[in-house]
Amino acid sequence: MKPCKKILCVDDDTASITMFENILGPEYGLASVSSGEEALKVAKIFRPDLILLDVIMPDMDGYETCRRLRADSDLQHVKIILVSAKTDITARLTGYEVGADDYLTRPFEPDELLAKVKVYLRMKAVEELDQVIRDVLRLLNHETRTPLTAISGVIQLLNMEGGLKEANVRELLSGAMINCNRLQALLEKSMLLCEIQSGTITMHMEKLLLSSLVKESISSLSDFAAEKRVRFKLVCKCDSEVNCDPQYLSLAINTLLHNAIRFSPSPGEVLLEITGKRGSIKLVITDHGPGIPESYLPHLFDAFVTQDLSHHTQGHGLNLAICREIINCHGGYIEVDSILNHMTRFYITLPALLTINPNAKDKTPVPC
Amino acid sequence: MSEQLEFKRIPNSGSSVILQLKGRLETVAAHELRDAAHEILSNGDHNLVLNLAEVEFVSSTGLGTFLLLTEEFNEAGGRVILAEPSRAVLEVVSLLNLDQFLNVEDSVEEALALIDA
Repeated sequence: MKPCKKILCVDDDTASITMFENILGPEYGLASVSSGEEALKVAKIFRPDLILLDVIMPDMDGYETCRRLRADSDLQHVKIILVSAKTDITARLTGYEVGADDYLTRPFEPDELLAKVKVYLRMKAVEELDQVIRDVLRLLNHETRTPLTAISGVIQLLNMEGGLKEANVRELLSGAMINCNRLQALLEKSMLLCEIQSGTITMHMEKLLLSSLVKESISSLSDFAAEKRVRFKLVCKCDSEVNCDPQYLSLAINTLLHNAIRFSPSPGEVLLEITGKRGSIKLVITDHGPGIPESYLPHLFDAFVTQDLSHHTQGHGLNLAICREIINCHGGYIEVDSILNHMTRFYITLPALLTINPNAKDKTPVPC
Repeated sequence: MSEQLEFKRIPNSGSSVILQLKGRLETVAAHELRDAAHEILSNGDHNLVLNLAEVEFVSSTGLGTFLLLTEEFNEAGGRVILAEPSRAVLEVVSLLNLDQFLNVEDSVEEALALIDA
């Protein structure tokens, strides 16, 4: 259910755009613009996986556009194929120098374009997975040292001659168990993230009401909430069936709820609202905790964000990344906004199958 | 105006301009919409509501136009809202998960309320 791969076509010739649409449209999600300036603006919000970029365009040519796209840190990993009728080696080399991944000369066969696009999209996916694996190894290297040292310390103490009092042994073993659990959770999360990223995860989809999943999450966290003296307020302005794997979607909702409780003042309240628009349903979770600094927000859902690595109490930097991946696998997306020292609000938006208006007299679900 | 798409300005007393689109938003039509929106922007109107209830098809250029206008109106301190999207529009927007970047509202009234809020 992941959204299809996105390709941005940049060409001032409408006939070329139509050709790209005919060749690539059936398989990929296409957006087209007619100039370099437009490409720079649209790429920022479209976030394409690949850009087909005409070289000869008025004002800003393909080379300059490519150079500027590469200068944007958010677009460094996008694959760029320059397209031109220029066949000389200088033109090709200039393309590679400005950061293009490949150069396609006109005229070309549709199959050649399709083959190149497939190769580069596959390469991008492999590079992304490779990055995740490297990050996981870095994380494991960093995060396993402290618990392993603690466990090995316990073993050394238990191995000392003269023995320990039973109460001390119990205390040591209990501490070792906590560290073992931490390691296990870290490994499980790392594996889960790698499986989602590599597309090897199997989801068992069911049609369920979003409100029922949310109520289950609330129930499963009721002890933790009571301990923190945090109460939940659930407002269902709308409800809908969603096509989901309940195990994974619950995991994502639980993660957000757990964080909301954890960072809420005590006593406090976590507000959950379910709202709907045509075709989609949104779960909004608000807590009145310390908030998140604005500078962290753009990369909050990226795995292994630095502040998480340096502050163990913030987790491993994996939870929110896993959340985002799970929501994406369900064809949805996650957003956040926060006001420091005031509140944090997470939004999960999912495709709605059938909506129910709880305020309507007739509560029969209606197709979106 | 292209044969495939008609668009007309709907009178509105508020601070937003409403354009109602009808037909297929293909390459030529998308460029015409882009020009019309640029004219609106250059006249100092920074909020644009596109009523898409009767749009039957959105080409890649049509989608590119929605994204471009969204970014350009944002840069100008305003916004573009896609209101009452037809199934054809919704399919494109949700298939590519673009509703997190594009402003989509169920009705023109909701779009106007959002702008005035």
